[in-house]
Amino acid sequence: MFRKVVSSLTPKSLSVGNFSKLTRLLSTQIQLQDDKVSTFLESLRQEFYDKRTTGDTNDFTRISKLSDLVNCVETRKVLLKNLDHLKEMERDEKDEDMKQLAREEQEVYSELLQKTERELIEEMMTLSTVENWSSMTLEINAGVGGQEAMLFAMELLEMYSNFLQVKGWDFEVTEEERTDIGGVRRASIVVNSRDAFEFLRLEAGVHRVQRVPETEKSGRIHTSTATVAVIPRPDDIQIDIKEADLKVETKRASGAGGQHVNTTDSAVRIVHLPSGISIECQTERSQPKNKEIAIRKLKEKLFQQQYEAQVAATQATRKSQKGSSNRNEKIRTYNFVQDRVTDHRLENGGTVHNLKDFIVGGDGMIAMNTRLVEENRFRELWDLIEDSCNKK
Amino acid sequence: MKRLFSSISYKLRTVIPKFEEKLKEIPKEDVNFTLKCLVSHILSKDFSSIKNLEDEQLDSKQLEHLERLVECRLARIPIQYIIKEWDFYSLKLKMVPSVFIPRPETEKLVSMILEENNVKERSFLEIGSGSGAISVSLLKNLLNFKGVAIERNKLAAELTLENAKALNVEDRLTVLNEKLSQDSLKGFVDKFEKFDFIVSNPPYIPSRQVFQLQPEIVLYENMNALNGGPDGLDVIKLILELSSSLLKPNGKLWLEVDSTHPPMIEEIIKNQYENRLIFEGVHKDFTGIDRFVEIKRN
Repeated sequence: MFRKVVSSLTPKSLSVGNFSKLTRLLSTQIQLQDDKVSTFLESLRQEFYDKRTTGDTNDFTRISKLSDLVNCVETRKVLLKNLDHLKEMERDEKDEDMKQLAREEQEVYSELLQKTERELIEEMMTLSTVENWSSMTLEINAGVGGQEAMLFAMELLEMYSNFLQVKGWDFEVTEEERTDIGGVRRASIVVNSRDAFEFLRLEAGVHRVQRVPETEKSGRIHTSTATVAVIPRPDDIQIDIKEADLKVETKRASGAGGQHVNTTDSAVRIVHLPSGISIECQTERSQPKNKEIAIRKLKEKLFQQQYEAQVAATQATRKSQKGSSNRNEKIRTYNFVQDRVTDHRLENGGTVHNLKDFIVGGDGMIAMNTRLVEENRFRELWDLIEDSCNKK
Repeated sequence: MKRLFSSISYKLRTVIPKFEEKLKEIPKEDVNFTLKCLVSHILSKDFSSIKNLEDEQLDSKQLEHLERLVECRLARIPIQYIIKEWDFYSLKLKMVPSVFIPRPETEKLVSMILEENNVKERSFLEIGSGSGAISVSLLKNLLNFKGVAIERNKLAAELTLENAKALNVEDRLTVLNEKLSQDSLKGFVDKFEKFDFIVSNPPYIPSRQVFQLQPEIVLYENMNALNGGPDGLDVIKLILELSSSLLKPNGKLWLEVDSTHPPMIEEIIKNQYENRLIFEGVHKDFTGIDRFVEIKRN
C-alpha cells in the first residue's frame, strides 16, 4: 500500500509543509475508529480542557496547538451523532420521500465528516513535527576505502548540492578538502532554511557504495563508505570558552614583532585544552579574522559534541531508532553493478533503480528522501499514540 | 591567431608546482598563501572565496600577469604592495609602495581604544597615520567622533585621505601633511583645541636595528615610518610633550612601542611630566610581547 502511494508522488511539487498526499497516506494507515487512536484523541481533548481551565499561561503554545485539533474532534463527534441519527431515521421511516431525504442528508454529512477527518489528521501531524533549526551544517566525510571513498564523498557532495538547489534552500559549501584525483576528504555545507532539518537529518548516517572503482585496475568490485552528519547550528551558540583554556598558535610568535617584521602568515591554530579539539584556519588574509573564525568553528565543534551526546541519550530511551541522525548507522547502499539504491530503513521496497539519476540528486533521490520524511512523521505520530495508551 | 591563443585557459593545477618551487627561495614564505593572494588579485576575487587554488583557471594573459607578480615577490616586494591592498580591522585598505604597511599587532591598539570610547561626540588626534589604518578604522567604529591625522610623508597623507574616502569617513577626518618636530610642536599646541584621546604607532625601532630588518622592509618601506632614532624614542618623546598640552583632563594617549620602551617611557613621565601625565599601564600584543602603553592626562 505504501509503495503505491509513494510512486504516485511528483516529488518536486510536494512542497514542504504541504503534506496533503501524506495525509491521504495516513488516513489509510491511521484508523480514527481504532481504539488506540480514540484513546489518544480523548487524552488530547482532556488535556486541552484541563489546561484551559487551570489557565496555565506557560502552556499557551500547547493550548493553541491543541485548540484546532480539539475543534475537529468535537465537530467529528457531532457529525457522527447526526449521521447515526439519520441512519436510524432512514431505517425506521416509512415514508419513501422522507427516506430519500435522510439519504441525501447522510451524503452531505459524510462529505463533511471526510473533510473534518482529513483536517483532524493534518492537525495530528503537526503534533509529531520534529524540532526545527534555522541553520545547520551537513558534513560529509570519506570513510573506509581510501581514494575511492573520497571520490564517492565528492559524488555525495554534488548530490546534496543539487538536492538543495532543487529544494530552493539557501546553502553554501563552506569547506572542501580536495584530493589530487578529484575526490574530497571532507566537506561541509551550511544550509539556512527552517524546513531543511527535518529532511536532511534523514540523510545522516553511513552511505555505502559498491562498484568497480576508477582506481581499480584488476576490475574487482569494492565496497567503500562515506559518512554524512547533520548538525544544527543554533543562531547563538551558547558555549562559553575560557581564554585560559585556549592555546593559540600563530607563526608570528617568534622575533621582535610589530614594526620589525612584515610577514603575511595568517594561519591560526587553536587548541581547546579541556577537549583536545584543535582547529586550524587560514580562510582570510588577516590573522585576527582567522582567529575569530577558528573560535567560531571550535564552538560549533563543541556544540556538535554536546548535541550528539544528547541525541544518543534520548535515543537510548526511545523504542524506534530509525530516522535518527546517528552517524554510525548504515542507512543506504549505492550498488552501481546492479544499478540500484537501497535504503535500509525503508521496509517495503526501499530499493530504486536508475542510480545515475539518483546520485546527481535527481527525482529518485528526492522521492526517497520525501518518503523517509513521511514515514518518519508517521512513525513519530504512532509513537505518540502508543505512548498515550501505555500511560493509561 | 593571437585571439585564439589568449582564449586558452589554464587550470592552475598544472602550473602551480613551478611557481611554488620559485617562491620557496624566500625564507619562511608561506608559498601557497602568497599564490592565493596573487591569484585572487588577478581574478579580482575575494581571497576567502577561493577554496582550492588548483581549481582556478587563468587565461594566457592572466598567467603572464601571475608570472610577473611572482617575479615581483622574488624581488622581495611586500605582497601588500604587489596586490595594492590589505586588510586591517576588517577593512580593506589601499596600499601604496613605501607607505608603511599596517601590522596585525596594531589592530589591538584600535580595539583597546574602542573598548573605552563610545557614544559621546568627541575628537581624537593621530600622529603618523601612514595608510590611515588606525584613523579610518576608529572613525568607522566611533560614529560620533571627529579625527585629525598628522602625516609628514606626502604620499602617505594622500593615501590616508584616499582610504578615508573609500570608506566614507572623509567628512570626519582632517589630514595634515605636516611634520612633528621640536620646532613645530608649539604651533600644533596653539592650532588645535584639546583632544579626547591621542593615538600613534610612531617609528619606534632603534636606528642601528633598522637596516638589519628583512629585505621587504628595508628595500621597500619608508624608513621614516620605522626609524625611531638612537633609542627608538625620538618621536615618542615629541608625542609625550604634545600630549601633555593637547589632551583634555583624563584624556588618554595610546602608543604602540618597542618591547623595550615601556619602562623607559615610565621613567620619562616620572621625571618630566610628573603632574601632567600618568603612566597607566602596558599591554601585550597577540604574541605576548609588551607592545602598547596607556598614558593619561592628569
